[in-house]
Amino acid sequence: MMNYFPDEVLEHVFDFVTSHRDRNAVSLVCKLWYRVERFSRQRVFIGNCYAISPERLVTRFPGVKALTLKGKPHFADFNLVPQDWGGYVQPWIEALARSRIGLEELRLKRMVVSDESLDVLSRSFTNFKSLVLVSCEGFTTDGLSAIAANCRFLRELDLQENEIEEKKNHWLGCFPDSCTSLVSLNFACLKEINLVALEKLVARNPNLKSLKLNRAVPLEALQRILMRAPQLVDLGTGSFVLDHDSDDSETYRKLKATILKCRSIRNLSGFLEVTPRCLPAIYPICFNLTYLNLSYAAGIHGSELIKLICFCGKLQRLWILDYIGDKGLEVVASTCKDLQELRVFPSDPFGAGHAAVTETGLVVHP
Amino acid sequence: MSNQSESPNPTSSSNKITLKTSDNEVFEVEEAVAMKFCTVKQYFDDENNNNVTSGTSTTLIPLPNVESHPLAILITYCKKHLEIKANNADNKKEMEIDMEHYEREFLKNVMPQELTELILAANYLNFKEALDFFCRAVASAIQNKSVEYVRKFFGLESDFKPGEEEKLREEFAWSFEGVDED
Repeated sequence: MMNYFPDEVLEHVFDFVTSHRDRNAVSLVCKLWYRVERFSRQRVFIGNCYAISPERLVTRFPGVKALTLKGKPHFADFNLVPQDWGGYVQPWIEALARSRIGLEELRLKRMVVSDESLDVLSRSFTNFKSLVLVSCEGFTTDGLSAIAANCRFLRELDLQENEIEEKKNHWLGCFPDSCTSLVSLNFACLKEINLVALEKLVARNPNLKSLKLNRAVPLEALQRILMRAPQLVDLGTGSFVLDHDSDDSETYRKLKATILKCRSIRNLSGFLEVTPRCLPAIYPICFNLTYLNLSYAAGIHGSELIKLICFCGKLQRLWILDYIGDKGLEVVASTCKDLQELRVFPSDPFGAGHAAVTETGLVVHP
Repeated sequence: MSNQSESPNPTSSSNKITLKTSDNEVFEVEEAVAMKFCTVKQYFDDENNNNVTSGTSTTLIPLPNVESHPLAILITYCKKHLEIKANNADNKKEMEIDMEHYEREFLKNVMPQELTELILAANYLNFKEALDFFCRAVASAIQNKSVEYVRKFFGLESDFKPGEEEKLREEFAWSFEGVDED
């Protein structure tokens, strides 16, 4: 009886079928469903960039707007994949551009991305909005400059654990003054950043919700950034360090007052470097947090770590190093009643025989 | 903002409109309810414009593509929709909670077959909120289900040639599905 559904109604139903697996299932129901699904699919996931050709992708889903593409397998993270394995994104970007696909979002994982790829990408798709690069390599900040300069409607630039060669080109300054569309910016994997350009960029992007900084952003700059972006929901701090200068107490006092106003923050991460005595500055916002990621915060241990957790009663997700210890996990259990996800990372992945967390802390006795 | 939503309590408006279904049943519904059906509103407005000179406004609106069964359900849904909206005029969040609660209960009494009838009726009447709701309901009913289940759910049969479907399945397995999260 469903055969009587006009195409546009079927398409409307498919609008609500969002997972790739479910879309695949409906497209196999019959020829009509296959056709309607094919032309209406906007988000495509390709788990292995060599499983299919870019040309086939374009024929199969001509309306694709958001593409996720994965290259090397997981064990590449442990240097177990030969250098010349491949995983180049260039042929994909060329094919999509040639076919006049209206690409808006591209998410790449463990792929080789060249500056040329990023340049072509930045020039070929007028409405391009989101670039997420995870564990990619092969490019420099020149490629990022092209993205910043040319993607006029960019909402998201998310750089996670990439190997990027950094040139002295102040790529962040390439965002034009007219760029006010940013919602999410993550450059935690870079070593350097131009602070002046960063502060200007934050100031002119009132919709910025997610910002993840790198080590080059000191506490003073963090304070100025938070002054301009109290609307942030997701914050990754860079360096949370105070030197033993006379200005310290002033910086700390300002930071404390500014953080008090950041009532929207729900996700907190970063703390790539920490002076533990600064941590009380974040206590007032801890109770709002639903996600705390301290997996890079090697500078927070023992009683300071446990005290911090005590303020985080609403956490749903906690990523933490094993400095938390068995005692600390008991505190987590009694404090975070809404916890849904707990990940404990080894502080010393190659250390042998030293177990900071044991069954005692992980097994909960009801 | 549409006209009817400006009236403080839309369900109590006294004007009635008569709708006649394909199986010749007649429904008398409040104007505020009928106006949520854009197809009816369009017809009603056109009629009124034509009748300005004669002064008559009582009309019987024929709905040749809608049967009485789905229409009755849509009218109930629409009344409740307007009621919840009026009760929470200044609290959008409360309204959404109430609506969600009502819709969850509503779905418990709807069979798959009815769902498709309701979608077709809501589509013909151009009743957007209901259409979205029923389409979402269908989508969630087939979430994480096999192709075979979906076919059975809608009473459909495969018309792929032998081998065709297998070929497509193979392509999905390799290309368009996540092997692992990492």
